[in-house]
Amino acid sequence: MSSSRGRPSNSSVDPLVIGRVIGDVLDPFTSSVCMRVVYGNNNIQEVINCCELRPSQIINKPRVQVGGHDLRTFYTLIMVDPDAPSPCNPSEREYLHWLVTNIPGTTEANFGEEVVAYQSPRPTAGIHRIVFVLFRQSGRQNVHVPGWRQNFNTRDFAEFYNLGLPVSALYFTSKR
Amino acid sequence: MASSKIVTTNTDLPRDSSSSSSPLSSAAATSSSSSSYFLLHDQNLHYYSSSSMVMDDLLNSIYTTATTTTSHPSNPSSSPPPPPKTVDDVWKDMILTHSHRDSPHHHNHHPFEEMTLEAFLSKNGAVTDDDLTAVPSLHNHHPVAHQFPPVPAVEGSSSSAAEPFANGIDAAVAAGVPAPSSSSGGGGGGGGGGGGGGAAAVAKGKRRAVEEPVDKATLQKQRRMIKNRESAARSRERKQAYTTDLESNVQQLEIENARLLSEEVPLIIYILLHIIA
Repeated sequence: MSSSRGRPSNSSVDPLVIGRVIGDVLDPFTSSVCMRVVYGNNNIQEVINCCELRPSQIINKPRVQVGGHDLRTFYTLIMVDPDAPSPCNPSEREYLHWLVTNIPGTTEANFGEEVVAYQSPRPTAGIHRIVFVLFRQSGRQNVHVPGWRQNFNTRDFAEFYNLGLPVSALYFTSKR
Repeated sequence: MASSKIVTTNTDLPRDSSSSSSPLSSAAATSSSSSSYFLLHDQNLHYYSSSSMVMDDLLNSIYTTATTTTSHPSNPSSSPPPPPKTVDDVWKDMILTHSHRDSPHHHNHHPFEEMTLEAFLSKNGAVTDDDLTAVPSLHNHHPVAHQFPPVPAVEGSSSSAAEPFANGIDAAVAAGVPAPSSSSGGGGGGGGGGGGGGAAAVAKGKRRAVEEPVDKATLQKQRRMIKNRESAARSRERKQAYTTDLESNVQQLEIENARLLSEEVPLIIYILLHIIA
């Protein structure tokens, strides 16, 4: 149901490009793995690109379903806020909210290793984009815990751990 | 384009000197762009746009440059005697004076206006050269905004009649600077603030006590406007991204729905057959 369902991204109509996620956070890529992000238990909110969620809806970590075909392929999930502390002055770009590695394919994020615990986004100023990025790992990995959440760089992280281009990405917006 | 239009009107002027109204009206009918081109490049004219006196000055300057290249008109409102030259000679003289003035000040094309204005004012002794040397530093940093900042500095010591022109330029900086920088994010904000700061710094050098509160207010207004434009652009992007994503989702869901429906009917038939049989 989400648009990151194995379709090659057409840059002229890709919401990730229009919303400048590709550019500010990621390099252009072709989506090859499905990813579904669902918040809430009673009041279910499935994340589609650029939908707006209230901070009260995103207090607890969502269910992230990872596609792929193989249980032996591992994936890394990164959740960042590139508009911290405010979109017109993103001095803390990107703020790392969640980092999970070694997620087995076809399963969910809670089957992986939570390197950085989920922290609920609490935007103070402006409307923030919150981005979920999925990378395919070449094998099981041991990732060093980043010292702090601010000024995380997804591109550098992917390069350092040889993750290559993303296989899926999704983002929503949130404001106070 | 400008040259051809001026030539056609000039053919009227030398031959018909007695009736001054018809060549003026025909000259006034030419495009304002061609008239402003000559308006700004002629050293004898004032730099106000679109006044009726301007057309008189334009035509008088055509006559005077035909006769003497560097003389000032003694009385702009008097009608000069018709020159004994042809149209081509007049045109050649104007080209010569223009190119002669142009070679020492050859910057890029568009800021012709303030370069010749500076030259004009410095020639007439209104501005000294050390005022002019303060200006080129702005040219390097802000090629977009530098059309405007040099003008208030150069104009600082001119007569009070020039004051509204300088204030108009300040407003033009406010309007002109954010426009090019509207789409770029932080860089646009920095460039707009820098351009506004440059204009403010230059203007401050000339008029200190009176202009400072106005400059701060305009600076803040500019920053506010730039920020507002950026956030407006961001919200348009968000809207567009959301709708395109929704549309693609709808399309996918429709396909899946059609597929499921097409599979549903044979499935029901199969079940019914198994129940019946």
